[in-house]
Amino acid sequence: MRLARLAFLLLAVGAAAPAHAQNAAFELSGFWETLAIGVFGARESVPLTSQFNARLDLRWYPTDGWEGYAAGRALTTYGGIVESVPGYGDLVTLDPGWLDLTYEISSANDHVAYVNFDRFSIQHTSGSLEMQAGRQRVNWGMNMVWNPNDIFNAASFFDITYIEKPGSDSMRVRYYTGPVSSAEAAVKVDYDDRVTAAGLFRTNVGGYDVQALAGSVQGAVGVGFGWSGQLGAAGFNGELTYFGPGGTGAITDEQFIASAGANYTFASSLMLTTEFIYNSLGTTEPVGNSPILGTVFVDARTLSLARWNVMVAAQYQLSPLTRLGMASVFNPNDHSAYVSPRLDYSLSNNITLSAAGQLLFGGAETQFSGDNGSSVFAWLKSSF
Amino acid sequence: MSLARSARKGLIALILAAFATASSGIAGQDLDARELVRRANDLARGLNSYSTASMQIVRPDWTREMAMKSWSLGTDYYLILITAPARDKGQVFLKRENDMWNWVPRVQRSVKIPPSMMNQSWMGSDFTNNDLVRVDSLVIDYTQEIVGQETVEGHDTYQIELMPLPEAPVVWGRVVLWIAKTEYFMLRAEYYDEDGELINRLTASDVKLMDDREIPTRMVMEDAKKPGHQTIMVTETADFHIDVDEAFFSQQRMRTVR
Repeated sequence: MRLARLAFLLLAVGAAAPAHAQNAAFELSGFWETLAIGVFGARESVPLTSQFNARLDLRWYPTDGWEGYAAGRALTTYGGIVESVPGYGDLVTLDPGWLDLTYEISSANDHVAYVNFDRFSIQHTSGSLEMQAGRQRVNWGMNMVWNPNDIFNAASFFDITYIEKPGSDSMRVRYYTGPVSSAEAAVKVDYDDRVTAAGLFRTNVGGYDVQALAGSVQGAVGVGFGWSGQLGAAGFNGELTYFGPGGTGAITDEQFIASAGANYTFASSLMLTTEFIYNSLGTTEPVGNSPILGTVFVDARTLSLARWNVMVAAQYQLSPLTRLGMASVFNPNDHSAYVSPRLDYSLSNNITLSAAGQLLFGGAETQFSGDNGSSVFAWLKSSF
Repeated sequence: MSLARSARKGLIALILAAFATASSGIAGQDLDARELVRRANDLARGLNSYSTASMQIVRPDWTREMAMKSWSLGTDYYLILITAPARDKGQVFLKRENDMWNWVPRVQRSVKIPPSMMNQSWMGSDFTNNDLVRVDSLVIDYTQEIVGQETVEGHDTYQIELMPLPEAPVVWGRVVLWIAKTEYFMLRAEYYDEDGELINRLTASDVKLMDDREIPTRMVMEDAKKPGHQTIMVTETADFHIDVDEAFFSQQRMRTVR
């Protein structure tokens, strides 16, 4: 059924794209990377996990005003996590989109290999009007960490190895009303045929980017406001979203989510960032052993299951080759904490060596319970 | 002074110099020192310019390269597209008067850059966002005085000393420029810290015809205290008469330029 949808889309795209192939231009980019993931301190020991991932981004410019964009990633995970997390292979090969663009290649109790297309769209631009159809990121977020305004494809902050983030199967129209202002409307359908449709207006007032959005999020009213500007020399940004009761989503209660933050960069290039999120439906009790890895189905309403989360981060460019970072998230109610140090080292123009940790500190059943074990990552990435 | 910090100072100077090395084509006028520097600075960019350039950071045991395309309108409007390295390709920086944005294509989002982030390392390199946008610093942040005349690489030059104005947001204690008398391009520069010590030395070479003017296309900034520490900027193409207006420097362009 979902394959039929894909065939339909391909035909539609083929019919829509003009046939001036002599001007065709392709741009190919991507990377391959190899990762090792170690988990320690868990109640049951987890063997080392290895991952080999590749990503290919293909952009096609058949003629002026048209752009096709397809991006796929191939992921092979072997060992530890696959063996220890029941149903891991099934979980990661689920595609939350209207189209099923995730293809399992091989799966067993010790490994899973699959291909996922997270961009697959065609865009047409005519003057100030842009139209885009297919799998794409409809990115309405303004914050660094939590994006309650991102009602189309919000992603988990904790998924540190997937920086491109997922797309959504959407139709989008944007009209630029000026050099720094635009009006936008988008419709998304998910795997369960639930519809999210909303409009956004964004402009710049007195050095602030501000935006307002309204629409229907899986049948519930959604209204939001976001800003990104400065207080003195510091960056200051925030996103507020109200969801009305009802609808066909997993959450049908009235909900208000607010997230705001600030950042400051010192002359030494040390950058400090802080951000919080408030979820009116979030619990003040221990959140309860929610695994932070493999959070595929995060959306704007489930960015935080806790009432409050607070993030503090520091980044420092030690040299042109070396970047250090540390990001921490605290749950002030269940007193648990997540600490993620990170090192990126440039081995050559296109090869980066990175190491990161996801360290959890908290009692049993807390949001960042140490019982889940902490993780360390090491990876080598080559871009082209 | 850390390596990154001194390299950054060097790069600030290098970028300023890159924009300050063009010929006006008007010769033989008596200009005061400030006007010489201003003319070099203004005419270098042209009113509406497009250029492609590459930059190489050289250290004794490694080098890193970047490349970019840039469009500008006066000093208030900029669009810079990164074309290399692969990891950063496609990123765009847009400046409109006091506002600056960074377009990150891999997540399809634009990030508003606050004033303090202008101090942040740009693209992981050892220069900052500020270095890209405060290009008229040599004119507005310093006093200028002609202190000598010299022949440099076959060109007659004025030697001009720049001293920072009180409160000016600059890193140098003194700057000395060698500006060609007839072509107005900068051929050499020396940058001193507040204690009068030479920190960086710039040499410009490879004078080529770019659009309607001859300019040095290769600039080498050397760390005076660390042999082998260089940053090399090469202008590959330049057009000083592109047909753009303020509306060209838009968020729509930022998302689609290539």
